[in-house]
Amino acid sequence: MTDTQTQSLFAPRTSGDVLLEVKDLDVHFRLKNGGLARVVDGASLTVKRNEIIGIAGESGSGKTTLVEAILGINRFSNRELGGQVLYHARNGQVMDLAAMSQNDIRRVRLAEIGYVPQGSMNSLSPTMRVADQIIDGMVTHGVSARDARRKVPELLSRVGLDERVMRLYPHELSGGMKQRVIIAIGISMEPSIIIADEPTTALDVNVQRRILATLMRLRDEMGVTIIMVSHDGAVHAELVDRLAIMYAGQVVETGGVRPMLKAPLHPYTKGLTDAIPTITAKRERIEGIRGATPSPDNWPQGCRFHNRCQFAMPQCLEIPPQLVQLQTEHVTSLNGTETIAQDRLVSCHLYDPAVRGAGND
Amino acid sequence: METDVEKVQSMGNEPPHEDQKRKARVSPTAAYVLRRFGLYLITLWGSLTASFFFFRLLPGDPVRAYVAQLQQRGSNTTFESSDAMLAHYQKEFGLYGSLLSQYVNYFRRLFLHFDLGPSVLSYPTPAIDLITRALPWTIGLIGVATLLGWVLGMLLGTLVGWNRNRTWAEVVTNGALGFSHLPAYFVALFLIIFLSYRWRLLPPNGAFNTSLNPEWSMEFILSVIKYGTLPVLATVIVAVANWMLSTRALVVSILGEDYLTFAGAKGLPARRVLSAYVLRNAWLPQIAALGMALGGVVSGNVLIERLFRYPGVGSLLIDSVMVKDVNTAMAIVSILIILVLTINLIIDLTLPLIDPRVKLTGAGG
Repeated sequence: MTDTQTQSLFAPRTSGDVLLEVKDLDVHFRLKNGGLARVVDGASLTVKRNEIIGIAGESGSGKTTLVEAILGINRFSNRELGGQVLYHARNGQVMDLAAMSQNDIRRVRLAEIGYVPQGSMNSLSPTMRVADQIIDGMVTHGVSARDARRKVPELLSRVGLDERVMRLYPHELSGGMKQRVIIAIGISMEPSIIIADEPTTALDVNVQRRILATLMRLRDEMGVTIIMVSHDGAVHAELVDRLAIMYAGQVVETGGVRPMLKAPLHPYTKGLTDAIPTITAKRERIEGIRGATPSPDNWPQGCRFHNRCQFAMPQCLEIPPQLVQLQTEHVTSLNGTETIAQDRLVSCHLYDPAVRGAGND
Repeated sequence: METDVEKVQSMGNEPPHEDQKRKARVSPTAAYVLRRFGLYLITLWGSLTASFFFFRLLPGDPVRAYVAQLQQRGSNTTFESSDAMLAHYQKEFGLYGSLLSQYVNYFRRLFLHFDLGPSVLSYPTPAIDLITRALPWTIGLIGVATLLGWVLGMLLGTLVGWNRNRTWAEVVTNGALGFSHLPAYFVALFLIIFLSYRWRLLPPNGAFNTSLNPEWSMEFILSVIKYGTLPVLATVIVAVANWMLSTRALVVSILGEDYLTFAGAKGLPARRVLSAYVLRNAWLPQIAALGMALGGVVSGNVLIERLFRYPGVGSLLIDSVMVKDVNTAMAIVSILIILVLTINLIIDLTLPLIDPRVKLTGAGG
């Protein structure tokens, strides 16, 4: 994929409070026609303890595949995994989730990383009572059946559900209630991380709000770190601390959510932020990003965004940019705002004088 | 034979307890049982009526044929004329008068006296006696074959569904696809030719070694099992293939469900996912399907019994149709109808107890 020398540039270690480091992660799928779908391809991401980090990007950018790879739950047999997913456990131990056997990573799930999946409307088995579906996760991680059962009412009340819900079947619950049960299961082993993959899809806005508020409250109460996948800019703006933008299987920009929305550096980030409607702005046509997401078995050469980018230079067609920390203290963003470059990582030649200069010769 | 229950998805945010309270006045269970039982009676009456007219409208007069047979044997001693003789036997067999009065008489005798009339086949033995002699054999044959086919098919189907990407599972599935399309009597012929005549492993016909006395002895029971193996096998091979394919389809669709991904994300081992999540959701619909399939099993069994000369009601049915024995044929069909409908009634009444998604609704629908 990339040569080893540039490896040190990826996701620089932050001291102490780093919880999860995704390093140059590849999730490839061998296709029947011999091709290779590089759905996640050299993605890097650093997650800090007790933050809510958002992952945004169009459909097909690899968001879900990335978080599924963190959990090791993508069951397709034609999957090829590369890179590292370093998890810093509470006892100081660092483990590479990408290199673990199925049986080892099984113990990490729920105990260390809880999951609130996409499509949570159907994530509960229709023929089991809610309580049993909460309990069996805990029991599989060594909690006694009695203790697990005793904990169910508390878990339900934590996510704002009545105790009697435990005796019901999923079809007797509303969508929002099901989502809360899923979250209750996700926090049942008090994990360090909760990965929420579009947790509010298919819920009405009212319920969406309450679910998001519940997640934020849990973060404050339990000190849990949340990875929030969503293509809803409003969700990110409201909920997350930091944002990672994914495009074509890679993370192209990360940073604090406010500076990023106010002062986007990557042209793709700018395209996304331009598409978030605001109440104060005049009613006008929202400018979308031209073109469509390229196909994962045939990403464009050079920068993968070059064919849709209004700032593209000749170099962009040749040299793939790397996700790096900016060397300057301040930087001018694409919409003209001056912003502090600290803590911003971007993968774009516009900010690399060396590559820019090379083109001007 | 539709399953008269509804899968109800409760929508919206309202707590589900409220709508249960509202309907609490008429117990939904009682209403459901009553409605299902009413439907059972209507279906029973309808199918009995249909088969009554079917047999009456068959061409040929069974009584005339029987009387002619008697006269040939020269056993006409008590009657003055053949007309009087004909009238006597018409009355005796319940084939006297208009179709409507025959119909009324038939049902009166059936429900008031459980009398299905004398058989033509071996007059004056009542048809019901012929059937009670043959029925245990048929029930044994069908019961063992159906249950065996269902259980084995479910197990195999789960296995090949769970391992759907393996080559051996694909081979087994394709093999089952072939067998599922074979008629059971065709399989039966092969079994008879190879296992019986060519390799002489098992007896080709009969229900037990005729040199033994029918009694509850170990020797006799073993003989029944030995003689029953081939007819059971013929049915089971095809049934296993069919149950296996439908179970596999269910399992594969369940494997794609979000709740299976989530079960894995909880850290459950594959074994637990299979037993608690896949099996539970796959076998519940198969119970309802078992009731539906029963009708086909019963009718398919007629040919199997014939081929193996098994002394069940299937063989009896063919014998009685041959001599236009309306009473016996009609009685067999009636009893099979009652049997199939009753088993379906039982399945429908127990389904709500085991499948939580099946919700009882008191209102019609």
